[in-house]
Amino acid sequence: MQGYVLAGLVLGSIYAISALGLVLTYSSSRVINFAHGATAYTVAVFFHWLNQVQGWSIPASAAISLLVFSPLLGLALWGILFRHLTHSPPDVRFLATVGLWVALPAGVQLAFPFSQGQILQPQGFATVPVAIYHLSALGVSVNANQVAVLIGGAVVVVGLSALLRATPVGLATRATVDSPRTAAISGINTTMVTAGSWMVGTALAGLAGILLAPILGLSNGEFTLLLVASFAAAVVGRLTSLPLTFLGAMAIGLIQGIAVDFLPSHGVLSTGFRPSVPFIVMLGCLLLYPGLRRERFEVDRRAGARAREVAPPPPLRGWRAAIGPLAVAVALFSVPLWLSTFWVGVVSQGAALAILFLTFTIVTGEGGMLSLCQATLAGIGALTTASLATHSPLFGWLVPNPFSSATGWPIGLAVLAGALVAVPIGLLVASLSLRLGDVYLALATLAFALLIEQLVFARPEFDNFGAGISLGRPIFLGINFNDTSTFFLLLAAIFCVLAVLTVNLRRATTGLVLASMRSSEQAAATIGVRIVRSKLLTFGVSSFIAGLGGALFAITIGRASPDSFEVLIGIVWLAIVASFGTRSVLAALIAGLLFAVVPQLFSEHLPTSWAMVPTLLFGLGAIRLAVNPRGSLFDIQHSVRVLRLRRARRSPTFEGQAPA
Amino acid sequence: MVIRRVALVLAVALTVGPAGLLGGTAGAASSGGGSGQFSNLKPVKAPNPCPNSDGVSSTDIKVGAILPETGPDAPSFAASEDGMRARIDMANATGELGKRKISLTVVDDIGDPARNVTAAQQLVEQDGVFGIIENSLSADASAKYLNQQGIPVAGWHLGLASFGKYPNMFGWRNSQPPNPATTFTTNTADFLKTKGVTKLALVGVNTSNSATFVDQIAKSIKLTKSPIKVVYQTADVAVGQQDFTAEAQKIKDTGADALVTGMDFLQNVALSAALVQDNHKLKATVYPGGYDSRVTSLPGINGVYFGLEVIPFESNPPAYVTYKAQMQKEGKYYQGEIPYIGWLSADTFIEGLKAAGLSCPTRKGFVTNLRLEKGWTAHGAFAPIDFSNIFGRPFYCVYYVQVQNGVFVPQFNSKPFCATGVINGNKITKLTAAQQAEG
Repeated sequence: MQGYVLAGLVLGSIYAISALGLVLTYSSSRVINFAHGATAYTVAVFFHWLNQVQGWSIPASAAISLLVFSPLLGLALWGILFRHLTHSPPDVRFLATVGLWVALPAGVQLAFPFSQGQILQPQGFATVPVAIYHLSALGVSVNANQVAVLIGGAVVVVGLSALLRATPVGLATRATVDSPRTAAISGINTTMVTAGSWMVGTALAGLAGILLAPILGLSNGEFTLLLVASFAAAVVGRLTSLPLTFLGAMAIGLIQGIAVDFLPSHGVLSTGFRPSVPFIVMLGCLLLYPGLRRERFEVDRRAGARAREVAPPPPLRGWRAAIGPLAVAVALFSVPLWLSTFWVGVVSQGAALAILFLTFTIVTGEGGMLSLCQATLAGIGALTTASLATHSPLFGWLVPNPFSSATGWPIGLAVLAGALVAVPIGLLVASLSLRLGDVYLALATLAFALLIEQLVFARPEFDNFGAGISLGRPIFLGINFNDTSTFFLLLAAIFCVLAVLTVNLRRATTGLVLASMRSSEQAAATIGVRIVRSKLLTFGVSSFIAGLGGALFAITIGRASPDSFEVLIGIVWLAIVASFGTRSVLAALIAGLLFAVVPQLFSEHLPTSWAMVPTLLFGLGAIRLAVNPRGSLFDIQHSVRVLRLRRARRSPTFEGQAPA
Repeated sequence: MVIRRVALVLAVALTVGPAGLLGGTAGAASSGGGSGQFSNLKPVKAPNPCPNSDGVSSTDIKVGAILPETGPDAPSFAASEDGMRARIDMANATGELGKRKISLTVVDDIGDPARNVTAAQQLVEQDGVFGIIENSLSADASAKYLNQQGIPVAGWHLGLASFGKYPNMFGWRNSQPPNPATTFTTNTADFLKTKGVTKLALVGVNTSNSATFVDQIAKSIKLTKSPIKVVYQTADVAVGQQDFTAEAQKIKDTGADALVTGMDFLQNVALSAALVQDNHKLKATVYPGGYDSRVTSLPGINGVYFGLEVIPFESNPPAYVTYKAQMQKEGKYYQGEIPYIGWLSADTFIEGLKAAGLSCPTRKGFVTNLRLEKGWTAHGAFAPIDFSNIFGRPFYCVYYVQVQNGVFVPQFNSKPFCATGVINGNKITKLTAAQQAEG
C-alpha cells in the first residue's frame, strides 16, 4: 500500500504545484489563466535549452530561468495582455488567455525547434542518473525528482500562504484585488502590485515546469493535460483558498494512486476511471458546492453592470441592407467557378467548419456563455451520424434500423438524427451548470468534454482502432453530392440558411432578452426575464448547430473520427472565431474558411518550419481581444461605417441627422 | 489536438509490435491468404508508344510523399523523410529508373485526418503525381479517395486497416487484416512461452488501440491454453502519464515475472525506471517500439525485448548495408528505425515503378504487377514475401532483439519468430509450417 500512497502523493504534489499557481494569479487579478500550463512549459523548455543545449550548469540554468527569464516573461505578458484584462468582461478575460494558451507553445516551438522532437530525458533539478533512495522503514523507494516534487509542493503551499497572509506585499495584493480604487487611495501602487504578482505567478509556473518536466515529460500535450487536471484542484479550493486547493490536489492524486490496487481488469472502470478522476471531482464540486452560486454574484458585483457595449452603427435599411450579405453569398456560391476542384475541396472543409462555428456565434456571441464543449457536441453529432449511416455495432442494438441492414440509415436522415442527439446532451450539461457563474460554466463544460473524450470517444465503437468511421456523401432530390462542387454548394446553402436564422434570432425577442442578459444578468432578472429558460434555449440551438456542423465536417472529409473533435482543437476553433468576433455570422464564415485555407497555403508555399505560424496567428488574434473585445471584423466594419457616416454628414441631405 | 494525437502515436507501438505482430486473419490464412482475390490478375504491359501522362514525362516521374513533418506525431515520423530522399537520390544518381528521374514533393499532414485528405487531393489534383509514398497514422482518411483514383501508394502499414482493404496500397513488407481489432496472431503469447515465464503483467493506455492490444494478448494467452497467467491487466494509464510508481508497485505486488505494454516509447522507459526503483526484476519484458540506439543505456532497459519487422541491423542485412552507406554519404546516418522505414517505403515504390515497366510506367501497371510480385525482400531487409499472399492478413513472423549491456542483440539467430496460430473473434486456427514460411 505504501507504494500506492507514495504514487498518489507525488501525483498530488504535481497537481498542487500547478493548481496553486493558478489560484495565486486568480486571487491577484481575477483572471483564470488558461495559459498557466503553457507558461510552465515555456520556462521548462528554456531551462532544458540552457542546460542541455547551451551546456550551462543546473544551478545557473535554474537561476536564469526562474529569476530572470520567468519574471521578464510575466512582465511581458502582463504588459501585452493581462493588464488589459482585469477590468474586461469575463468572456474577454477567458478568450484572451485561451489565445495565449494556443499561441505560447506554438511560439516556443518556433523559437526552440528542438522542442518539436522527442525529448528522452527532460532535465529537472536532479542530476542524471537520478539518485534513488530506499526508505526501508516505510518500505518504499523514491527518486530525487519525486523528492523534489514532494518538497516543492509543500514549500509552495506554505510559502504562498505566508506571502499572501503575512507580508505587506501580500496585504497590498489582496487589497488591490478587492478594490483597486480604494487600494490606490491608500497609497498602494496598484499597477506595480499586479505586475509584480504576474511576475511571481510566472516564476511559480516556471518552477512547476522545471520540477515536473522529468516526471511528466517535456511536451506541450502533457502540460496541457496537467493544467486541466489541476483546474479540478483549484475548483476544490474555489479558486481562492490555497490550503483547500492543496488538499484537493492531494486527494485527487491519492485516489488515482490507490485506485491502481483495486480496479478491475475489464470494463469501462478499468480503462476510464483513473484518467477521469479530476473531472469527476471538478463536476462534483461544481454541482454540489452550496455556496458557489452566491460566490458568483459576489464576483460579479465588483464589476456591476457591464460597460455599455459599443453601439453598433445604425443598420442600413431597404435594398442597401441586402447588398453586403448578397455580395458575400454571391462570392460564396461562385467559388466553384473560379477555383480548381482541389481548392473547392479545401474551401468545402472551411464551409463545413463555418457551419460548425455558428455554434460559437450563438452560445458565446449571443448567449454570452463560455462553453468549451462545443467541439465535443460536434463530435457527438458526427459519430452518431456515422454510426447510423454505416449501421455500426453500437447503434445496431441501441437503435433498431428501419432501413436496409447493409447500408444503414440514409445519410441525410442520419445527419439530422446526429444533430438532434447533440441537443439533449447539450441541454443536460447546460441545465447542470448554467446556474454557476461564467468561469465555472467554462470549467464545467471543459470537464464534461474531457469526460466524454476519455469515456466515450475512446471506445472502440467510435475510435475504431484509430481509424474512425467512414462516411459517404448523400444522394437526394436526384442530386449526387459526391461531386466536390455540388457538395460545396450544398454546404454554402446550409450556411446561408443558418446564418439568416442566426441573424433573425438576434433581432427577435429572444435576441433582445439575450442582449439584456449579457449586459447585466441581475438587472435582466429584475425586469422579469426568465434567464435560465433563455439560456437553455440558446444552448439547445447551439448544440443542434454543433451536431449538424460536426456531421457535415465529417462527411466533407469522409470520416467521423474522434480525433477531429478533440477538446483542444475546439479551443483553437474558439480562439479563431473569437479573434474575428463571436457576434458576427460573417466572422464564423471567415474563421472557418481561414482555418482550412491558411494552413494549406502555408504548407504549399512556405518551409515546414513555418507550420506552427498559423496556430500562433490564431492564438495572437484571440489575445488581441484584450484591447479589442468585439473582434477584428467588428473593428473593420465599424471603421468603414464611421467613415461613411462622416462622409454622409458632410453631405447636405443628411444634415442634422442624429449620429448613432 | 495534442491529447488524442499523442495517443495515436501509440499505434506506432501497436504496429511495430502488437497490432501488427498480433494481427492475423484466421479466415484469410486458412484460405491461403489474399492470393485467391488476385488469382485472376494478369500482368499489365507498359504501353508503346508511351503517352507520358499521370505524372510521368519523358524525363521525370512526379512522386508525392505524405507524412507528419510537424505536430505531435512528427517525432515518430518526420525522420522517415531522410531515408525516403536518400533512396530516391540513389535511384536518380545511378540511373536505376532509366532515362527518368523521380522528383519528390513532400506534404505535411500534421497527423490530422482532414489534412491527410487535403494532402492526398493536393498531390493528385494539383501536383499531378504518379503515386504516393505514405508514412502517416492518418493514412486511413485518404485511402478510399486514393483507391478510387487508382493512385499507387507504398508505405508503412502502421496497423491501418486500409493497407489490407485497398489493393492499391502496399506496405513495404506487410499488409493488415480488414479488421485488425478482432483478427490477430498469437506471436507475443508464443514468444513469452519460450521465455518460461509464468505470471504476466499487461499495461496499456486508455485509448481503444492500446486497450484492444492488451486484451488481444490476454485473449491469445487464454486461447493458446498457455501456462502463463495474466496477473495484472490495465488500460487506464493516461496518455501523457510518465510517473509509474503505482503501476510498478502493482507489478511487484502481483509477483509478475513478465511484462508487455501497449504504451509509447517514453512511457515504457519511465515504467522501466520505476521498476528499477522498486528493485523488481522481470524474466521477460516486451516493448512494442523503441529500437533506437539512444535507448540502450537508459535505466531499466537492459534485458528488454523489442519486436521488429526487419532483420536486426546488428546482423548487417544487405538492405541495411546499402542504406547505411547512402545515408552516411548524405551525412544523415544514425542508428534508428524511422529513417530506415522511409528508405524501405521508397524502395518499395521504386520496385513498383520497375514492375510497371521502366519504358513507360503506368499506375495500373504498378498496382497490378507489384501485387503479382513474389519473393520481395526489399533487397535483403527481411525474409521473402509475396505481395498477393500477404494482402488482407497480418504478418505471422517477427524478428526480436534484446538489449544486453548497452547493445541490441538479435534473437533466434536473426531469423524471424513465427506465431503458431491466428485468432479471429474467439476462434483460433493453427498455422502450418508452410503458412509460417509465408511470413
